[in-house]
Amino acid sequence: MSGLNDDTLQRLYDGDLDEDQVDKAREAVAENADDAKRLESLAQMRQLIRANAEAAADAADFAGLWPAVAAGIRQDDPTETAKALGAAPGVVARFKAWLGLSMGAHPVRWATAGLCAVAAAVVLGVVISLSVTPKAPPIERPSARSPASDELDIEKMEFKGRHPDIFQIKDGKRTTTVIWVYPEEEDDDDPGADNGDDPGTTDPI
Amino acid sequence: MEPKDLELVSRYRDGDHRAFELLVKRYQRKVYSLAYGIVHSPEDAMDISQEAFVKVHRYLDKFQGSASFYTWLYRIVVNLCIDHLRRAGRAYSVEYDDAIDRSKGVLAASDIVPSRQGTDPRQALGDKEILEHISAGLAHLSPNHRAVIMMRELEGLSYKEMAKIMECSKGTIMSRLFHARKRLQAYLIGALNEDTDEAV
Repeated sequence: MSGLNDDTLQRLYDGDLDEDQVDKAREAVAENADDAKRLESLAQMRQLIRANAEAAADAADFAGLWPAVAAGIRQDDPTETAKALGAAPGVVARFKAWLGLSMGAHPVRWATAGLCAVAAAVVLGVVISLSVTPKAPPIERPSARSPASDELDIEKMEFKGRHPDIFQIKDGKRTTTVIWVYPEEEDDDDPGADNGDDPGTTDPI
Repeated sequence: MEPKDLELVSRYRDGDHRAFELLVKRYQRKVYSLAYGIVHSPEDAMDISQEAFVKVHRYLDKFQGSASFYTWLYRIVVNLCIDHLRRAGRAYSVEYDDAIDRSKGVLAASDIVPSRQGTDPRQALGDKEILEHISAGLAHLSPNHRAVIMMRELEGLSYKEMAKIMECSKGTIMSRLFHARKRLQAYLIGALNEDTDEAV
């Protein structure tokens, strides 16, 4: 003879009863072998369903799933972001991932990151100090005139529709004015070039 | 340490494309198992798994993170399965026995897996024949009954979570679960004991 009704038994089994109801239901089950057997039957069914699901998953081949998903995404969202799916992550993404993941749990990574930052700062300092020290005037153009005073007598000029840079190099008491004309740039006619209208840039994903 | 789901979602939004691949690979087995449990066809289950991940990707920017990624993914899979069965004309709009008073049904108090001579019922779980019976028993259920029993038994979703996924009341979920269990239990007791009788 069953003590608990099916509703209560099922809710007990599924963990849906309140704490005080659980205690009462457990007491009832302890006193009734039939209820204990019904609970055991539910447990067996759960084990069988899980074993069946595991067996189905074991028999499946997942090797093709990700490529199929990536292809589906590309078809669904043909933006640059979607095209990049399946490609290796970029250096920045990999560094961010390395830095972002479990840093709290890895003090060694913090120390390494700090050491790298200090080393980068030192290298940057050396590079800046070397680049600031003038070794020689950049390029002396034969056409450049060397005025006798510090006064800049050419402020602006135009050459073949372009505006050259005009600057001065001081060498002791003398000042040399340099007029730097940039070579013509090639036109960018590449139709594949990013024109800033790429819909992918608006994709939040 | 494995990155959490929300971390992977965030990394993907920041441009780490591999993060989404990791999410797919993390859940592919579970998604497939659930889909297979409901639609009962390996090909359809694989197609639904693929469709589910593509759909997840499509709406990933709308994912707020208030619910777990897993629950969200599950909802998509279950809905796809039900839509699939509906299209195939295999889903019932109303579960006829959902309306039956549950007090009239009694969950049996007998072993589902019978103790054969020298065989522990728990050891029998790896038995191919028994698993085939389980598969046949699940196929015997209606899609909605299969959906609730799979969500509950495979992943332990609460009645409330299942009600949200299936967009119905908690009472309907309890009723579906009860009838699904009762039918499956009756099928298995019959099938497995028949085998035992034949073996003796």
